[in-house]
Amino acid sequence: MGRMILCRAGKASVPYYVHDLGLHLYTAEELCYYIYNNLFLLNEDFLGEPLFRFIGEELKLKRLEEKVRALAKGGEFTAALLEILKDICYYNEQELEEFKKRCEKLKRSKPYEVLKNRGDYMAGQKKYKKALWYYDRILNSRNQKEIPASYLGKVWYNKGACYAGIFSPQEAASCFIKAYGLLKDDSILKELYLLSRMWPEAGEIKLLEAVPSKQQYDWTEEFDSLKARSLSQGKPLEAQIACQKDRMRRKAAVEEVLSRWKKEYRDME
Amino acid sequence: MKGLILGIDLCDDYSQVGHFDTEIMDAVSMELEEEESGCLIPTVLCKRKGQDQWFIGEEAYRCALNGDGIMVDKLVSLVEQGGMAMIEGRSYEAEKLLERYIAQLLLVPLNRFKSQQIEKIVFSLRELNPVLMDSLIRLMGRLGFKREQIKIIGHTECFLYYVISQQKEIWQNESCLFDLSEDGLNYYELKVTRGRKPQLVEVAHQRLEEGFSLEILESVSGGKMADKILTECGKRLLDKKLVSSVFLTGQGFGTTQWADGFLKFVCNKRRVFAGQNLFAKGAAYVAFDSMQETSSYPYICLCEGRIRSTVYLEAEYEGRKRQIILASAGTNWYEAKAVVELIVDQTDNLELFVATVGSSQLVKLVVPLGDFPARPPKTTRIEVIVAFVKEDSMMVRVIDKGFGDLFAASGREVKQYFHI
Repeated sequence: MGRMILCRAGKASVPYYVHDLGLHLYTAEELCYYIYNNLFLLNEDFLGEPLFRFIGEELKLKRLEEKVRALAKGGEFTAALLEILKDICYYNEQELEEFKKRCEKLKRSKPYEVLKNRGDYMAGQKKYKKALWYYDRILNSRNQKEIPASYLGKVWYNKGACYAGIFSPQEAASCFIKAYGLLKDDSILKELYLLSRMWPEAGEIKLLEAVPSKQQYDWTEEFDSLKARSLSQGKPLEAQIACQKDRMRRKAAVEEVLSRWKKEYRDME
Repeated sequence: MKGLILGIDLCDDYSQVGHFDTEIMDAVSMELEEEESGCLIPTVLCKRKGQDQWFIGEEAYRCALNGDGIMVDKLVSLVEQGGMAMIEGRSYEAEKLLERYIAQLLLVPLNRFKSQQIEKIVFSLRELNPVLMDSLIRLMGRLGFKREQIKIIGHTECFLYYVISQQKEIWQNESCLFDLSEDGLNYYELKVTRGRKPQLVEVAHQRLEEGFSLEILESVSGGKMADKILTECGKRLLDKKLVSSVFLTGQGFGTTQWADGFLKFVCNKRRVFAGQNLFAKGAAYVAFDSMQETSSYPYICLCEGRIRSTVYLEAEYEGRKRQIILASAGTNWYEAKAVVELIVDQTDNLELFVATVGSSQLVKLVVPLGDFPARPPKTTRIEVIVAFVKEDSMMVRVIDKGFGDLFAASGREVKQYFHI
């Protein structure tokens, strides 16, 4: 059944900055939402001075600040998060139970699973460089032998997709090749082929030499059709609209589009 | 003494100034020195020809009669109509003229009490016209007053506060007021419902068709006719009612010699008071009371200009369902405004509930929020603004505020008017 929740009065003048996501939290409700939906991004570092100050001084929840400080000091990470959620009453009992279960599951997760989840989340948010950082932590870890090959293959694949996202075709191709080596999945060959068509600077990919001509022909057709379709949507369309403005407005429109794209690119950091 | 606490009755023909004296804890009325009309100060403004010198009241009349100046009268209705006045070839906005008038009028109490400042002013108006009220607030701002120093109420409310500031015997049963002025004959009736807590004090107002021009009182035959009209009127209105007191005010009751028959009727088993300062004093009582932390009048007061219903919504706070009052019955509509921020959780509607005094029925009002962007549950913060455009007409505005950096605000809003 639907309901309304009365907002708490406090709105921070100095918000809490979530470095990973590059966003600010201003209210108690936003803090709860962030904790509840980004549990796998959080670790003990989250329970630090900036958070305590935000809760106590900005949200004016002094008692909660003291409780969280005490729990953090005792190393009770999950209990501290739960205390925040309970005190602010943004989530109901049922939702808190579900959160507890997720906390338990997270505790049982292997470290590389936690890292991959964080990387995948960042990639989903188009924070490609942050995602790469998490994937590299898995791929550079000393305990790689513990990680199943198929799991590593997925990490390489995701890493390749992130490189493609930041317009680094050579690195992307290299990651896809490693992923293919571990997963032997033909769809990765197709990705490689499309990558090489889109960015010839990706270099010659020897793996593709073994792909039958008929298959390559089909993929080429698919690539051409994708390319044609993409010209009338998304960014190409935005650019077209800006360029079609009359002489007086064109410059401003193009500058606006470019500055937006630049911002998007910077936000991928 | 700190600043002065004033009640100003501002009418089209005359104005009056009341002052709340904190030493005797009572309201007193004031008059212009050298005035011939007692506490009634004509609402007129006169500019001396060729000079930037302005007069108000009787002095303005004198200046105009001597041919030394150009006079503007009916300042209140001129403001209500958003009019202008042409003086010496220059056009003046009505609001600016009223500002000059009030600025001069305020000098009366300031000079009388040799005071430097005014702490609170309550204006009393015959009718709560929104155009006039907005103008008054604007011009008082220009005169250096903060919004919270100014309050505007109607004659009905002034009468209510005047009466309940008197000894209880006077309003043991019903109380009535006859206001006879050039504007017509107005009748007010005050009732107290004692069987509930807080007690309910209600004033009904009627503008009577029996009103007549005060000029007829200048002749004996005219006075007799007026007395007859008024007596009939009194019999009709007071018949079979338990009335403890009758108040007579307005320029028509400046003298009551013409109203023998009427007085004989109303004085029978009732206490009768005649005077010219009831509204200004009532406003002064309100001025003093509104400065106190808790009101000295523990009643729900219902009258023209006051909301008859309590409007609330239900929302969760700290895990418990609560009623959030947006407007309380008995609040002056002009001052009834509420702003709350809510988080929407799996609903497309904002529901408000209206509980009207004297009715057991609860009315549900629905504001649809379907046009707001679809977001995950609990990630849409809305600002709900409730204000009134009349005592029975409520405006609800809902603005999408997004959810911080997590979900940007769309800037969309819904605005609806409800008759309550």
